[in-house]
Amino acid sequence: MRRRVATLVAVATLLVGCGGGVEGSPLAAERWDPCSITPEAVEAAGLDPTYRKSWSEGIEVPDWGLCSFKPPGKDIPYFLSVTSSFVHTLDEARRDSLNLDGSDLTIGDRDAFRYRTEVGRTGRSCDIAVELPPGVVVFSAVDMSELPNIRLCELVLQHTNDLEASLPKSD
Amino acid sequence: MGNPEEPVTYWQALAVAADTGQLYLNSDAAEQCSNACDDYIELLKGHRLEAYKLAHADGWGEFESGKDLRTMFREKAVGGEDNMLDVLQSHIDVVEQMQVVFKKFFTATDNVDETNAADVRAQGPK
Repeated sequence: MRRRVATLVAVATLLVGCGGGVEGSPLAAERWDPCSITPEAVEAAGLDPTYRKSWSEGIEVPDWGLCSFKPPGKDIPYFLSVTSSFVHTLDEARRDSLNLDGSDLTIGDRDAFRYRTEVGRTGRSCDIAVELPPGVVVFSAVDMSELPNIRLCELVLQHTNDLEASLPKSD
Repeated sequence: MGNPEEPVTYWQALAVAADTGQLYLNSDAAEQCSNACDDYIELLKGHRLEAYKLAHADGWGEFESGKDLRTMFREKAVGGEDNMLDVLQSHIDVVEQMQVVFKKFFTATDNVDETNAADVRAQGPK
């Protein structure tokens, strides 16, 4: 099953890479690959078009696709990570009691939920989970230099709005 | 790992030694060390991000299997005192403090001068 998913994701990446506009394609039924966001869209969102990173080799997370981006320049004050799943849902994010300061919002015309998370002494992020047909995509501004929470939440909102056009469209 | 404060203190002492002229490093070597610090910090931050995302990949819904492994992972990777995320941050703090020392031996103005010179060469006399 895992191999099949990997193959489908690979095929999806290939097709997105070649095809350009693939809105409403049958591939929407499989997990959307966050690394299908083009370097042009990344640059337009004010991020470094030459940097993108998925899970490291040897780390397998069957439920979530990952693509991480950073702002341009040597310093990395934060990362913007984009994770996608077709088995998890927006409602799970709303129900999770570990998600702090939650608020409902709309991104484009999609239902979304913004919240903060904290891990350990030093880990903080502000996230926006956006409904996908099917599944969910989560944009996270993950702190790397003690940015205030309010700044992380501004950054994630700005980048999510900028990158919304790259998400798969519903039919 | 040991007390993460110790290496930071050590490099802070070297920074003081550099300020008082007791420590010297030639500017080319220092600049290369500083660049190596940039690369290493980028790598460490990338790992820290991945640890953070793994912590959350875990939190959504329930997997059918691997519950023990997940509990163990959560404590090692992200919970408790010596969790992966905070340990990586303390490594980053040390490398940043090292870089402070290296940067004392070359200045950003060197780079500005080089950039200006290159611009002048490129534009040439009109």
